[in-house]
Amino acid sequence: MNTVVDISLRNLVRQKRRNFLLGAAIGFGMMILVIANAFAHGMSDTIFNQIIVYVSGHANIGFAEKGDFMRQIFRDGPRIKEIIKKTAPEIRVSQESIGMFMRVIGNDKTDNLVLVGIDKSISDSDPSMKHHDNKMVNVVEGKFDDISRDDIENPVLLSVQKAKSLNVKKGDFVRARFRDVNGHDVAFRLTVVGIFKTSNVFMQMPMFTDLKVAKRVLGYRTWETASLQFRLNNPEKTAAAIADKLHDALRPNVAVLAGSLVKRESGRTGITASAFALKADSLGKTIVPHVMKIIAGDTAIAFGKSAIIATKKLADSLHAGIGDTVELSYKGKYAEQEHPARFVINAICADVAGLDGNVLFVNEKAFYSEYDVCLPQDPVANPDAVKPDPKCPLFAALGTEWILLDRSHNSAAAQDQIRSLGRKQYRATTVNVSSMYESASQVLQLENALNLITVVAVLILFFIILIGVVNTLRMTIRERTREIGTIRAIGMQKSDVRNTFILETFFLSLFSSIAGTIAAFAIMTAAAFYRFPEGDNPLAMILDDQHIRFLPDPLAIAIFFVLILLISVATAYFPARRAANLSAAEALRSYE
Amino acid sequence: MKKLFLMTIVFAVAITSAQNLPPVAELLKAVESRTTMTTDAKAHASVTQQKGRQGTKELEMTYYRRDKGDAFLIVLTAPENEKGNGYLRDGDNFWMYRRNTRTFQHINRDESISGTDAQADDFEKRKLTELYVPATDANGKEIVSAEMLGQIPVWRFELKAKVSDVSYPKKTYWVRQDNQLVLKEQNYALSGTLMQTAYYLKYTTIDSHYLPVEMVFVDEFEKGNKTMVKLSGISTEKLGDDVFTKAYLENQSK
Repeated sequence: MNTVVDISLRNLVRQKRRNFLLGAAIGFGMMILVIANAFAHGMSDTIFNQIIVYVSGHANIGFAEKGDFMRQIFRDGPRIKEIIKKTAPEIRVSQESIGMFMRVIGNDKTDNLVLVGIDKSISDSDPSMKHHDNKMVNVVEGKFDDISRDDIENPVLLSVQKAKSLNVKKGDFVRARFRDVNGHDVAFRLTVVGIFKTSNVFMQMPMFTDLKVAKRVLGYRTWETASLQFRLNNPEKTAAAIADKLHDALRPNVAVLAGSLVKRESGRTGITASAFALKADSLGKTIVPHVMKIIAGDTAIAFGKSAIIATKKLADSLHAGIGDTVELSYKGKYAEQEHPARFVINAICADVAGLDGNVLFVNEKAFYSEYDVCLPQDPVANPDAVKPDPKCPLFAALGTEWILLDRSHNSAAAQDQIRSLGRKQYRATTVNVSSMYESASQVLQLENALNLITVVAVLILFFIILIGVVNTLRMTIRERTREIGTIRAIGMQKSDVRNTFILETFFLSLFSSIAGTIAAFAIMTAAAFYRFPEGDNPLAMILDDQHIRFLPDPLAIAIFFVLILLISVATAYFPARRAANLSAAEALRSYE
Repeated sequence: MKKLFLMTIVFAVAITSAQNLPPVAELLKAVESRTTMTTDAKAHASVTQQKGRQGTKELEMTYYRRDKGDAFLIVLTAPENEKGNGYLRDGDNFWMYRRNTRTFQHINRDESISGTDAQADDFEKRKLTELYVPATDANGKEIVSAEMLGQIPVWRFELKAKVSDVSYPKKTYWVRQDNQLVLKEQNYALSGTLMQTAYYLKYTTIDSHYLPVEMVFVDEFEKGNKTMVKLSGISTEKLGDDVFTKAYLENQSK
């Protein structure tokens, strides 16, 4: 075998110019493959790890109150954080994600910005987060830590670009107008405590402040939370699994407002009662008319969107009828005073099996208006609350504490789900658990598409090159026919002759691929040194600190090697076999 | 001397009126009963928006409204790039239609109408009395006073929101003493910052109800921005049920 290898290597240098040109073509193809793959991989890594992770974390839980994507609020922060902590203790960092578009007025200039809250306690305790924050927010004037100062009115950091467009400097005030999470138009004065520089085009728009400041300004109460995002160890493997686990743990209970119910202006003492929401979705519309027997009032109203239905037991206990106003006072989970919720009864129904007690059914709109203003105690822990039997025929039509959206498994499904929020007219807060590998699957698809395009283009290139290989081999065999006859005559086996040619092509491809890879790394290193100018740069989205980021994937390079070698060996096999099958006598007789 | 005489009259009117300040709840009811339409309505609306450095934007639209079913339809007729776009509300459903793509999209109540300061919820039928209650001072007294707005005697009163989903938690109104028509309205953020002032310049009467036909909304936050709205060609004839449908909007957009 060593002889065959020796002969192959020696033959390789016999036709230097021909082999050099062929090798250069193979090397060029390999170089393009490696560069294109590293570029695509680098681009998706930049988008994922520099932008998407910063915006949404490796996994996240998003909230939308009343189906409004701009109202990202969950009214019971401590409860959901406790569930997360118990369910997924492996989460490295859990933080609130707060951002709000606003109109900002500087010194006689206006612009649109996004106020983003940074949880400095996390940044201070986690060196990797600190490094990440510093990389993204490179403060060139003022101090990053000043965003947490209590003695400054709403301190913020602005990007160089936005400071310029607003004509403000460190120490100046800007005024911001926006609609807060409660739907109110509000205006605030903010103090510019620093200016940061960023090369990432997406990072020019945010103005950063401490999370506590952002929550106060945007209208969150202390116990309310914005959408949550998580950073994980080994996210490629764990993100989807953790998202699945959290999704399972976040199944809601039936929502109930339980407290003392009185008929207004009746002078009677209150009775303990529970109000449930009637779902207005197709399931609710199907179940309610079948299960509920209306004994007083208009059925069209009772089964419509404005239903306030008292059970017979409740109506009898209160001596209440159609048109009476009742007031349910219930204790809020975080409020010190009882919250009064008023409803006007417009129907009375027969008692429903599985709901034992004084029960009032309220349309979703009226129910969640009260529920969101004053969050009631947890239904399971509240001794006053009627506990609906899961076997109750009305159970599936009762509104829940929140609406857990199905897991979307790719970006398209996630976008469909966001679009459906408005269409489905949810009244309760929706909870959406996702990981970046699903919500941003389009980035991965883009990387795969780029790789596929590259591979197809390079395969075409290789096809042309391999025609050259075949041609070269045929010419070589023709030139060496007498030589083949000689070595066959002195005892070389057919398989050795065949292997000589195959190995010659193999070595040519191997050395060319190595040279192509080295050239690719040289070009990538040189290109990565080039600093792209700031400003309106079409490449800005994929630049990392104004440089193109190449991220070669060793596995992909190994696959390219194997692919090229396999193709070239397979191409060489048939001409080599033909050479091996030549009869020694005929080969010796051959004359060119 | 003339000035002194005028001031004396104003002062006298104010003193006289202060003795008989009406309850704010009654004023609110009166304002609503004066202006609430009970019939269908169709009008041509012209919206002119002035923005500091961005210049002036003018929109023309046809507006159909049916309070009974809580429905309205807006079809933009100018400028050319907005022509055919529209907004349809039917109960809880709210759609935006784009002529270029011929698509309907569900939108939220706070969506801007064609990039102007007007929001979709500005066109909703929501009773003032259902959203606001009289604001009170430190002594628990309603904040209401008699004033002169220019040369017109008005009641000035303050309101606060009783529900959470309103844009402005505080409002101040100036309504004519003689016919309870709103002349001026100021909207405040929760912090007390004045956000917007609205002037109702001209009313017309339709079926014994008053309808404001010329209004100016001044952005108090971003000085120099204001929006003027003019209504014309008002008709209160009953509209067909097919008007408040997607098909009608699509058809009108052609």
